[in-house]
Amino acid sequence: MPDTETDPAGPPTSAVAVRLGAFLALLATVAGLGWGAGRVANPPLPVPDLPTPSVLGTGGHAGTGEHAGEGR
Amino acid sequence: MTAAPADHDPALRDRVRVCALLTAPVVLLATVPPWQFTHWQWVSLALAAPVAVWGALPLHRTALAHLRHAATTADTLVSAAVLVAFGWSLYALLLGGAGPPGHTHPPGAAPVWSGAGGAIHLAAGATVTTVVLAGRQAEALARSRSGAAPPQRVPADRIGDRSVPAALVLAAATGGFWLGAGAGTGGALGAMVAVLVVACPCAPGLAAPAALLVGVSRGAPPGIATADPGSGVTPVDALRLGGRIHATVRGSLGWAVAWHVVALPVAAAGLLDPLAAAAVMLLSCVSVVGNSLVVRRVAPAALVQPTG
Repeated sequence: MPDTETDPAGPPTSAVAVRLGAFLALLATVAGLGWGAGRVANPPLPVPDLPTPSVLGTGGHAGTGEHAGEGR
Repeated sequence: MTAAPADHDPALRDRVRVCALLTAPVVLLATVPPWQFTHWQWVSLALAAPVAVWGALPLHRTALAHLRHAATTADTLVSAAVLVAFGWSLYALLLGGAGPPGHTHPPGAAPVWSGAGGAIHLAAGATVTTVVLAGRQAEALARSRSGAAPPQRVPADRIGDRSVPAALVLAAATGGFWLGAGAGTGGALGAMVAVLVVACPCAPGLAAPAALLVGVSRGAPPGIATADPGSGVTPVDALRLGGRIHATVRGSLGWAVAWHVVALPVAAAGLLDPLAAAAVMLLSCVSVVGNSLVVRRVAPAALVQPTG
C-alpha cells in the first residue's frame, strides 16, 4: 500500500484506477453475496395471486394461485 | 529544544468546539422522543449538516487523497460512515417518510427492523465526526506537549492499513444481507453505518497519544518522552517514564481492540443502532483515556527516582 506522505506522486493513474475498480467490484460482489444470503435466510413471503378486478363486470381473472377459484 | 512548542492546532480546536456545540442538541433530539417537536427533524438536519460537511471536511479530504492513491485509512471509514448516514437521512427527509410534521424516531433496540423508511441517522454521523475530531485534537496536543516530532503517519492510520479494507468488505456484506432479508434500505444502511463506526480504529489510535499526553503533563519538561537533551532530564528517567507509557498503551490497545471485537458482530447482526455504535466508539475512547490516567500516578515516581 503506498504511503502518501513519503510518496506524494503515488502509483500511475491507470494502476490506481485498476486497483480501485477491483476493490469496488469486490465490494459489489460481497454485497451481492450478502443480499443472496439475506434472501435465503429470510425469503420474501409469496405474493397471493388475487383475482384481477374487471371494469366489465364481476368476473375478472380468477388467478391461478392459492386463492384461485375463491371469487367464483 | 528549549522553547516550549506551540500549542495544538487552534483551527482544529475551534472545529471540535463548533461540532460539539452543534452535535449535542442533535443527539438530545434523537434520543429523547418527548423532545421531538413538530419539525425537530429539520432542525436536526440544519444542525448536523455543517458537522457532516464542514466539520468532517478534513476527514473527507484525507480519505479522498488516499483513494487517489488506491489506499484506505481510518478516515475512509469515518468519511464513508458520515456520508452514508447523512446521505440516507437527507433522502429520507426529502423523499422518504421522515419529512412530514410530527414524525418521531424512537431509538430502537432492533434498528434494522424499526421504521426503516423513516429512520434518520443524523445524530450518529455528527457524533462520529465530533469524536474523531476530538481524538485528532488530543493527538496534536500530545505531540506538541511531549515535544515529539510529528510522526510520518499517525498510529490510527497504521492500524487502519490492516483493518479498513476488511471493515469495508464487512460493511458491504452487512448492508447486502439486510437488504436481501427485507429490512429495507434505511435499516440495511443503518446496520452498514454501525459496522463502519464500530470498526473505526479511533480508540486504538488514541491509546498512544493519550498515555503520552498524561505522562508528560505531570510537570515534566517538554522533550522528556523523547529523551530530548534540552529537557534537562536524564535518558534513564525518560526511559522509565517511557516504559510506563508503553505498558499503558499496550493495556489500552488490548481493551480497545477487545471492545471493538465484541461490538462488531453485534453491529453486523443489526442489533446496534448507528447512534449506539457512535456511543460505543465514544465509550471506547473514554476508556482509553481513563486507562491512560494510570500514567498520572506513576509518572512523578519515575521522575524522582535516583538515576544511579
